[in-house]
Amino acid sequence: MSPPEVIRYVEAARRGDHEAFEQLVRLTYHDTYTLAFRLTGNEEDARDVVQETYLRTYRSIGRFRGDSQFSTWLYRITANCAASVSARSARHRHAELGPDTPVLDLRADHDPAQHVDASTLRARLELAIAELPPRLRQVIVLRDVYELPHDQIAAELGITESAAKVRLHRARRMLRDRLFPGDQRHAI
Amino acid sequence: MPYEGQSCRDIVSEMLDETSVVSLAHRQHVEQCSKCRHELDAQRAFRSQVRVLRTEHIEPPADLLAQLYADLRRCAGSPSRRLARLVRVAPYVGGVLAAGAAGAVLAGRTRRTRFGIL
Repeated sequence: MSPPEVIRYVEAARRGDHEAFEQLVRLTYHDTYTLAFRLTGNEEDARDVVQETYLRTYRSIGRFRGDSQFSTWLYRITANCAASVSARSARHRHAELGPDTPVLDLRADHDPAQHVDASTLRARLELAIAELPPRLRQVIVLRDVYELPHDQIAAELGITESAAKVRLHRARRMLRDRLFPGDQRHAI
Repeated sequence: MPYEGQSCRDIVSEMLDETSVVSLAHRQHVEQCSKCRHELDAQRAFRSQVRVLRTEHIEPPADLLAQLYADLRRCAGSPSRRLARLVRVAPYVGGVLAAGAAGAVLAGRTRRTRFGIL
């Protein structure tokens, strides 16, 4: 549910109130930047994505009908901008993890997830997600972190729904394999 | 029903995704197959860990907000934005002008009728 403050500003911005739109930016840009950073994996691209996202939102807010939450609408625009930026960016900083990469070696005897301190795991998760190939990173962030439906993810990334599901499955596997390389006993 | 490899992975993905409709046969398979059940449990646990990231913010660069405001002000002042606003209000302005003109015509006719000009 969008906070009442956001709803008020959205209504005013739809009527062309520039200051209301600036207030919307102030209230949402941390969240938008976080998503942009997770989608792109680097600060420079995340910054471009956020700038482009708010320009597109500003130009099209008159068309926002409130069928979904404003935050969901903003996530979709952010995802679309991130896909464009990633496509034209020649600086994908994705580095494949080598077998000696120490930071992701979280081997544990029984259930690794329960043996790792939560904050440490979160930090490592962030890192492991950032190091996924961009195409896989985008779907896992949008689906598993932000819970966007498959059809919306597919639409914003310009791929089919089944392609989005395949990428998601691969991303989940890769992420788990990288975080818990020792936990292969029951892999199917 | 026995499944293997890719089929098992697809079934687990279906089960994991609460928005998918999962067939009875697939549900029964996961109930009976210890590997699939374990995989599903592990994936659910892992996803809940991933989902926690939703509440964690990454601090944006200090100058980003000022940059966004500057972008928006430039955009607000750009000809395309002004044109877009004009296009948006044009129907209303046109409607008001048309209504005014129709009113003036009607008033003129009424006046001419009253004075027997027609």
